[in-house]
Amino acid sequence: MSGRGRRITDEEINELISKLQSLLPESRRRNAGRMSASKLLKETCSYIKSLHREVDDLSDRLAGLMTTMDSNSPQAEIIRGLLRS
Amino acid sequence: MDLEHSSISKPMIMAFHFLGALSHIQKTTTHSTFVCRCHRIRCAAYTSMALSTGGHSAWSRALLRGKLRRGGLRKRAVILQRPRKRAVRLEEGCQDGADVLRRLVPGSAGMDSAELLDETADYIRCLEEQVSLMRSIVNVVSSL
Repeated sequence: MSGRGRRITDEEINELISKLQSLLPESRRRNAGRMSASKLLKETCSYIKSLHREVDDLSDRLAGLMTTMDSNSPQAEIIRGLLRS
Repeated sequence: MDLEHSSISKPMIMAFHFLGALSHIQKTTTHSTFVCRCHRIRCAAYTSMALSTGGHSAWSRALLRGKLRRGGLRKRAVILQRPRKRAVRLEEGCQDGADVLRRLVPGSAGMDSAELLDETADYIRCLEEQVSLMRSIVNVVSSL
């Protein structure tokens, strides 16, 4: 692919690192100064893993809620109606 | 009919796909196991995430490719089998971290560091939106 040989400048890398750092929850809380690239990568990886776990956990809970919805309660009817519309 | 894609927000597209998938799952899993249902909801979550970006990012394309190929998501990251190009090095000692990140972000195995950081930021933002959507749904449904 042409254009792959373009060298990325240090500035661009720094910008990307700052952008990524601003997304991490810990850095938002503490408003830390710029962290090293290796720390940033570690924090990013653990944050992504925790987000994956949350998706798993929420899927679990939704599956559980759907199971209760299968019963013939008035609440179940409301929920079924909501999902149908 | 000219539909202005930019006027429909990404979270709305995500919600539309996810709720549609949930409705379908609800109808078709009445006699399935809890584990099966849970797995399908998880797949629906990643699919609606990928669909909401409109295929602009490599991770979303990788997720959708994986889903089409296998009829479902077994792993979150699709590891592409091609030699990695390291056109840009971040720093010495970062490669391990970058490798772990490449395993976590779908479709990022062949990317250089700059692309990887960009994709990661996009992936994280979408994951957060998906989590927030799922939390809202859980809150609404469990409070009924």
